[in-house]
Amino acid sequence: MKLFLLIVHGLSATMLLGAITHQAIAVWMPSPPSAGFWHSLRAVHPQRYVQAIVFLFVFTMVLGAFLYVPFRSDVRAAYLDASVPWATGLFEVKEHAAAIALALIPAYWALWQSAAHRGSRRAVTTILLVVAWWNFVIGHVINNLRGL
Amino acid sequence: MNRERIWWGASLGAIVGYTLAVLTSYPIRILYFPHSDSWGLIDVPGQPAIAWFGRLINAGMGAVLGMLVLWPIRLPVRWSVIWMAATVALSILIYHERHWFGR
Repeated sequence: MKLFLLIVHGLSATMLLGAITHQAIAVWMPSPPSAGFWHSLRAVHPQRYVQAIVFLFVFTMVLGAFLYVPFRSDVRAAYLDASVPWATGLFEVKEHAAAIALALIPAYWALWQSAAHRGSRRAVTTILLVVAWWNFVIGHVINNLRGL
Repeated sequence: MNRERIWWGASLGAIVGYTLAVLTSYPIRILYFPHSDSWGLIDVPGQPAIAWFGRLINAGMGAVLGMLVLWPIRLPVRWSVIWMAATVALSILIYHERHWFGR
């Protein structure tokens, strides 16, 4: 069951990463539709990603919370804290980043419901992008050091 | 506008609630004890405890409080406050974990 949840957690995080990265590219470098991969990537409608990103963020985090209990006892307490404390530090930052990003979700939602506040919308989207990438990479690093 | 203010209050309240919970024991320190599958407010000797779930509960309480406080206030919201608060909070929290990297 743990392995199944871990794989779904990883898949969900991958989808989140794709969605938020697409959205951030379209927000920072918008482009009218034209030929070519790069222009097509920039020409997506960022507004259409909002619901998916909110759902995927919360879903990924809920799965992560389920896996957190065995992680704390089987991985962190049994290995990381004593052998590779820097990895525990990275995971602590991952926890904080996830919580702060979750706190930003109401603002993110509200900012994407209105055409105003372009700068803040861009800033909040960028923070979620950075957190999603950080958590994805650190999750993989920890899992490679000692998986569940 | 009213709805915007509520979301604004929820985010700010959650950021403040979570950060306070990590750095202090306020508003309330809630612990989960996985071995006995129980919750408590104080450490039990010999029992590993998880504080993160309690911190998230604090963030949730902060969000609700933020919504309730902001609901009746008829002032325009400044969205830049939210992402600045998130950036400052994350920076403080990262600094708070520095002891893991100097061992």
